[in-house]
Amino acid sequence: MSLGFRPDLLVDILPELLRGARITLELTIISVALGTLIGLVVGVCRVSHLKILNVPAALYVEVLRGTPLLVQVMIVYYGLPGVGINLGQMPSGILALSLNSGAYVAEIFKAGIKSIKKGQTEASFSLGMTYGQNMRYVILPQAVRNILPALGNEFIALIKDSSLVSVIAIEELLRRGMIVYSRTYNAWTPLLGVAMLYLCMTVPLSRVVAYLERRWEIND
Amino acid sequence: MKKIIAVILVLLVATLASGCIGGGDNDDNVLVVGTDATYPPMEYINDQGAFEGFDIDFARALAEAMGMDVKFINSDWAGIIPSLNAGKFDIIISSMTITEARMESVNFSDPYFYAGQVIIVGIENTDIDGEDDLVGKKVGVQLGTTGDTYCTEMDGVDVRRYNKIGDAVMDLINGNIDAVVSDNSVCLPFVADNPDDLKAVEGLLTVESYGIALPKGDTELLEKINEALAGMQASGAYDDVFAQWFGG
Repeated sequence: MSLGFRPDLLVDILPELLRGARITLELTIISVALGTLIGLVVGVCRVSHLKILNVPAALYVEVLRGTPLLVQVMIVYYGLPGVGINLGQMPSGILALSLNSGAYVAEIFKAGIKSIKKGQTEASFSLGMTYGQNMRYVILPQAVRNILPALGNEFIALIKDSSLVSVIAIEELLRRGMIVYSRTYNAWTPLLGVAMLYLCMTVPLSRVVAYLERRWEIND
Repeated sequence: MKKIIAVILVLLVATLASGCIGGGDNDDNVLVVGTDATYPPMEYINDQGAFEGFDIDFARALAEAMGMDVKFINSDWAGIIPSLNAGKFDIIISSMTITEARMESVNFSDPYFYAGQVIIVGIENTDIDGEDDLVGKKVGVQLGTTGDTYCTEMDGVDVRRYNKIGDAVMDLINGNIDAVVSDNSVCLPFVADNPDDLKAVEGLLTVESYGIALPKGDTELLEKINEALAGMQASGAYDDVFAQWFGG
């Protein structure tokens, strides 16, 4: 038994690691979807002129971006039962990742909305549109197109950040690797496998983001 | 855009619904067991992704004795007591040594497993009956383990240090050393696998008692568990599980 790289072991454990990668993808996709929803609402509130909307939104972004995701995950899983909210492992992981991602996505939406020239809003108002109509039919459709690459980057970041939920023993990719390590006493092989599978997920995605960025430049 | 929002809403509802299933184990007839399954052969996840180990089989037998179903939840070791007290599971069965410090935050059942250093020897060996007989003998240990420390502190023992406990056992079977000293949970499975070559010397050189941990308030379940444990020990159900992992 060697502590070094063992190709035979890597082949043996690959199906097990792939099961972990599946959980990682599930976690990430659901969290990005929920995070985008949260980010859209919070982002729109952020640019609102109403204090009752923009102050809580700013506070949300400040708190969620200003504390470590690892701490947030532990607060949701171990802390919330203290106030009567007792969630299982996957719901806790998804909730923490979504709330965290929502704060970053809100900033992306804010930037996207601000990237649309003020003249368009003025034009909408002069056509008799309300603030809501202007947002929905004029600003957001353009903003969403502009921020697609940034949302893609957020997705990539979340794939990597999702490894933090291994701390509450969700059997995602990293935890799977550590389980193999605990059984085989070989750390190098499973962890290399884990890193490789993260790359298999992030590299194609970053190609897609690069493509979107290129196309956006040409259209401009 | 509407379709995307619809999809997101469906996902949201699905997540919340799964949250209800995942979070609320209010079914009284399921014994929910927390374990840190990274400690073979006591508790680990096998290559099929299933829970396996002595503690797992023990927990299943315990639940059966109590007339309950069993469900396992994997937990990180550092968070296992907080999770118990947060109600993530009913009990901990995870090779947990009963200590004064832990008793401040949890209750323990009666001990269900005694862990410690054990001596294993070749099947035909007759002159090693206890720790005093190790003097002057070649004793294999795993480098840096409790067994290593224990034998190194004894005078006159010829300690042979191996990287893997399996290497030491192999050398014992091959007759190159006289005995191996190691954690019983680690080396007894070798005895169980090679009953024609190896045997364990009766008794432990050091003793730690493993207990089942419960939340402080749950005295009703504690009584039921102690009762079921005593029943298993009397009926031989405990010995069956023990023999399966560690030999007779």
